[in-house]
Amino acid sequence: MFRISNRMMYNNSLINAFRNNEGLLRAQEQISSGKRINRPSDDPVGMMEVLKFRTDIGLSGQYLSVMENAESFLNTADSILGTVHNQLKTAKEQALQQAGGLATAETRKTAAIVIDNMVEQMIQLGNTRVGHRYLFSGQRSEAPALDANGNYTGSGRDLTAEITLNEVIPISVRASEFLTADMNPSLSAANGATPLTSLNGGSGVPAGSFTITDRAGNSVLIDTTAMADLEDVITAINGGGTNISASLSSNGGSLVLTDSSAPPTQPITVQANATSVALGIAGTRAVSVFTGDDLDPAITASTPISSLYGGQGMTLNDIKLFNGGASATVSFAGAVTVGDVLTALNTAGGPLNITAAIDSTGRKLEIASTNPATVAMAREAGTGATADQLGIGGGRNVIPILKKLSAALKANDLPGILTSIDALDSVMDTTNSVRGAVGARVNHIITTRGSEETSQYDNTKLKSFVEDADYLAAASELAMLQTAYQATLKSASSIIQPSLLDFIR
Amino acid sequence: MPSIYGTMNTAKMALITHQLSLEVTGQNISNVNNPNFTRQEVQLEAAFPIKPGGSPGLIGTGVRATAIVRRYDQFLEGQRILNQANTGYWESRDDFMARLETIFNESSENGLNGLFNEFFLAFQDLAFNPRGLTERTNVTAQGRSMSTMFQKLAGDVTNMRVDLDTKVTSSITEINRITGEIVDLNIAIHEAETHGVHANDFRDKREKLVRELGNYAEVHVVEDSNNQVTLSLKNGRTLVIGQTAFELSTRVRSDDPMVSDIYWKDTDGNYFNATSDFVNGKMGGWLEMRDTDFVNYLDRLDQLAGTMIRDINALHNGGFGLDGSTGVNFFGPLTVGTTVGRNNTSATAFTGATAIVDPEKVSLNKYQITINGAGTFSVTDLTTGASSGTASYAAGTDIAFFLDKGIRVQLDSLANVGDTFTIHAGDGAALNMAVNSTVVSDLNKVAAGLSTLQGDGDNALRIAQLQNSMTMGKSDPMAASGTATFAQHYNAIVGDVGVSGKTAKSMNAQQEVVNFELENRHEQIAGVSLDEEMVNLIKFQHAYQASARLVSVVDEMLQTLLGLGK
Repeated sequence: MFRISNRMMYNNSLINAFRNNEGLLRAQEQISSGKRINRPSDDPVGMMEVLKFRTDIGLSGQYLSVMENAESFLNTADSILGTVHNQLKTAKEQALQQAGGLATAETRKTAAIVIDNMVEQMIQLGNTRVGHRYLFSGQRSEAPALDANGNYTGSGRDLTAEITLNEVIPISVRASEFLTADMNPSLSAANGATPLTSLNGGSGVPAGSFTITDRAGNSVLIDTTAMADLEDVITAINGGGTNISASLSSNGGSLVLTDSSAPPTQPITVQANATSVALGIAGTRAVSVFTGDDLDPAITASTPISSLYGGQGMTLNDIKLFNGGASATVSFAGAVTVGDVLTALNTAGGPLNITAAIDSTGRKLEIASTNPATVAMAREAGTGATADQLGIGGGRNVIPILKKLSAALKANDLPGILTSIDALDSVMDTTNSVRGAVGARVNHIITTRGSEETSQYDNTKLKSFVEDADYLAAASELAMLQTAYQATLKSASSIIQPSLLDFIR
Repeated sequence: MPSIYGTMNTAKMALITHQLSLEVTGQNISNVNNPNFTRQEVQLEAAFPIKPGGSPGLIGTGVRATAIVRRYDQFLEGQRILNQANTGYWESRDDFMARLETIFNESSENGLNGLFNEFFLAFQDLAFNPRGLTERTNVTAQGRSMSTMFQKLAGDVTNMRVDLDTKVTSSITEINRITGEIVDLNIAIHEAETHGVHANDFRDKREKLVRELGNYAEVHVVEDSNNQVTLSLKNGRTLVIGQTAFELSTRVRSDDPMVSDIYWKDTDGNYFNATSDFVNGKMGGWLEMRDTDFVNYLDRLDQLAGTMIRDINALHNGGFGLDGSTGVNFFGPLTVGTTVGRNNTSATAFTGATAIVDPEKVSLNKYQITINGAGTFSVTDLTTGASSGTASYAAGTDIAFFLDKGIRVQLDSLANVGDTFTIHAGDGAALNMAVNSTVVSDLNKVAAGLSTLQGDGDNALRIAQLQNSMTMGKSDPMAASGTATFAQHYNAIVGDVGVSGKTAKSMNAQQEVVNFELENRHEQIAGVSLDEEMVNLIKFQHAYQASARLVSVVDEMLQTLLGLGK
């Protein structure tokens, strides 16, 4: 016989009511929160998936916001490039008019004023600011891209943005890509190649001494007083008996101190003073690789051609020099340094009364006519972008070309005006192609944005699939549990009440 | 020939016996709702028969109550005690794991996982606009909210460890009370039962106490020939032997002052560490969570926070602020936690030279040194479980093994063999995480660039890209790639919390069912059924009435006899 005690019946009723209640609570929670997973233990695997989706969705949001910024940045650049292009068309019309038979010295002088104004306007456009940032200065965005003479003073390094996972694209257009050339040399560790005087945009490095202490505590005193170039500094550091070896950064912009102390016991310390700061390596860093500040070297006669344009170098094709109707072809065969290029230019230009030199900012070359009545000009002899890259031809030299045009107009130098028209075509082409490149980048961003939005949407959908409550299921579950609960209570009330006591009177 | 007085005596015996039965029934009815009560029954026996002269055979002399016994199944009771330990264990785990879940509840978007996104987005924004004051402010603000969240998580888990410890220490007092009472009952039962009486209610009470004790930890119960129980913990550590209870006490751990060890005192007054003897039961659950689960979660949080601090600081160190500053930390630096083993026999301690000497690649694993000779030790990496060979050290000099891991530690003297020391560079990383105050007070010091060019956001971008790098689980900090990103590492913690919570929840529910079934079986045998008792009541009442009737019949017979003499 199965004995049933009174406590069994009570306990049974109670535990069943509790179970029903718990189920009701869970179903109600799902319905009110709208979520199937309200705590990690509801579905640990699902929870982890949800977290992963959430990270991915957040990441897409990040990239979308970066892309939005990048796009508006590039769109502004694009519209300015458009304005520059339109101005150049006006300049070309002026030049064509003044090259025509009706033009006189007077009309040319008036036209020159228009062109001068245009140069001013170009400088202003080049110094466009978005917020507190100069749009065309590259990473030196705190300073105007162009000085009062229209020379580039910005950085050779582009602003970049990560628009999608591990895809970092440049988002800036530098004024040196279309308004005026910047030959942007990288540092060189070769003897004589990078004089200390050329560093920091030509400001140089004040002579002085500082100590470098490696991570094992060994020190070396570096005295730059007798040093001429970067090679001397690197040799002095490497020969100093510390565990530090000096080299140049992969982008050729700064010094790198690599410490091999094992095990290290302290940070790398470079005594801070005017000299070490100017070499970009002042400070204390608790890292094994100390990458210094950007040293921004100016070009000098000893600058190797191979280090120009951020270390990419440039191809030297033949170019043609023009002055007062005479012309000569320059060949740069065998040129290794900027000095060699200058020699070639001066040799070929001599008979044409042309002199070539590095300009005052140390960023490009310039050619001048020794005859005040004529204007010296240059252009590519065949294909290539040599004159363009040297800063003396068309291509990326809008401001120098406009200045040449203005000078030719002022000097009433018809051959000069005619050569300018050629050059204007060339800079217009470049402006267009830079614009095209900007447009391509914007298109790329739009495409990437599309796929990022899609993945954000998909992830949101998947997350909802894992995380959100199925209302229909939850509601029917609730109704079912309710019925069960009522039945439990009902049966309990009818079982618990009667006992033999009720029947014995 | 039978005696008429014999019959009277039989009636008297019957009356007394049935009155006794009625009393026991009354006791049963009164205790119908007492969960620790065992149904009692009067055992009846026909009294020794006699053969009076002239009788054709043996005549019974009525009924006798031989004993009042409990309806009790010893095997079932053993199961109930054992089951108490499981119930206690899963109940305590379910309780605390559910609380842990609320700490790691990422079901809203405001958890640490969401803050990672915000933090790295702030660096992405800074990379885009390195000179922007808003972006700089936001980087430090997000860094602070993330640090605060780390502090909160680690703080909450730490507080829960303290809660667990409070449970442990207060339960020790409770266990001492229970064992004391069991000893008292042992004495009482022994005294009662040597006189041949079943000490039913004392036994009920003792069983209840044993079950209570069994709820705290798995105990083994042996009843000796004196009817006294001997109780011992799973590893054989005795709590009660007959009339002696062994006192337990707690002592704060020297190497982990937030928690205590349990000590057991022998009859000679010597103390022994008995912490590990408590397995299963509530105590087992609490101790396991306090010393294993929660320590593990804290270590993993420290590992995460420590790696973030180390890697972000290393990158931040290598960049330049707007003011040209370099070598600045973004987060407050890590510190090394050292502890001296609590069972050490020497007085050897660490010297004050402890420091992180290579913050860029300092190992954040937790190392335990075990001295295995004069000036030599072996190391166990408690984070990976790997052990190294033997290394040597000298008093008061940097230990080369750790210098290699970027940590400077020294021991002030040679320790005894068997002594242990732990060294952990990530210790408290989560609890103490904070954005470097220098950066907060001077936003120019946020090193967004790799050069002093003010549009250079390349360093901020490098930091932002850490979000998707496999930064966690690297064999060596300079290795190119590990096994998980920051978020993945954290999500795994949340996942484990969820799994532990789910396991505890379902095991607890299952345990409740087992418990319920066992209780039902116990109730089947030992529980009071009012119906049954009512039937008994009527049964005994009728018997009593019938016996009384017998008395009056005998009385009438006597009257008749007495009438004969008139």
